[in-house]
Amino acid sequence: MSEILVNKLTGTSTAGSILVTGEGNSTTTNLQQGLAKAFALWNSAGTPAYRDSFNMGSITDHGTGDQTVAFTNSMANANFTTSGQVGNGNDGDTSNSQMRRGSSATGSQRCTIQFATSASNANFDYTYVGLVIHGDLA
Amino acid sequence: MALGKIKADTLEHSTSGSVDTKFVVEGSAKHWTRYDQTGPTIDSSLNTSSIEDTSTGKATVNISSAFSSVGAYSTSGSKNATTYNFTISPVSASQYIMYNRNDAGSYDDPSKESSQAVGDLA
Repeated sequence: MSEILVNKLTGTSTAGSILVTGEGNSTTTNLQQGLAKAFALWNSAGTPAYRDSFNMGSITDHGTGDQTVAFTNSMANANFTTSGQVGNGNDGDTSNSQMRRGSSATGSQRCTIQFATSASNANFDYTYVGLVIHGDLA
Repeated sequence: MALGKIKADTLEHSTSGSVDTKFVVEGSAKHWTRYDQTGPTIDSSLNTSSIEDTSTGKATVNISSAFSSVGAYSTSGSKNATTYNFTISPVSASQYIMYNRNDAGSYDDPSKESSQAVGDLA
């Protein structure tokens, strides 16, 4: 076993690029590119509030099922990827929940959160809204 | 400056805790892409060789460095506000298809689509 005590990892050839050997012991992947740059789990009911987060700042509540989360450290551009999942933590919930990607900026991402049944769909404030961001930091 | 290689099982920050490096190797995203399916054109990506417009609402995403098998990676994604839902179907260790439908339930090409994958590289 070995352990490295360090506060910052920097590439030697390119400061922002460190390779990591993959599970198959041959292919490499880029450490910086593969790390999630931000994540958040928030309660959108009432006044939206984070349950847990990384690199996330304020939450702007535009209305029911419509929030913008701000990043503490901005992304290099708005072409980052997003993934997420929403719900109320109810095992018996049969509605179709979804989170749409709204407007993106280097410092924020707007999310529209809805529920859908066979008859209708509408914005909804779920108590668990999860979002993960991958892409390039500024 | 010469390149170097460090082998370690743990990384420790002075104040923010430590992480077993297996979480760095196995937990990092190995592929992601943000693209415009109306082209299709790739806006930004990691480990993505190309995206093919298979047909309306169907995008075939090709991965440069393959995963160890078709069952060795997990995908997720998102769409912009003009589309309704999507599904992701892995085809091989280096290829998956995203199926997109609009609010009317018809296949549609979104202009802002993103997906990512975690798992074991070959």
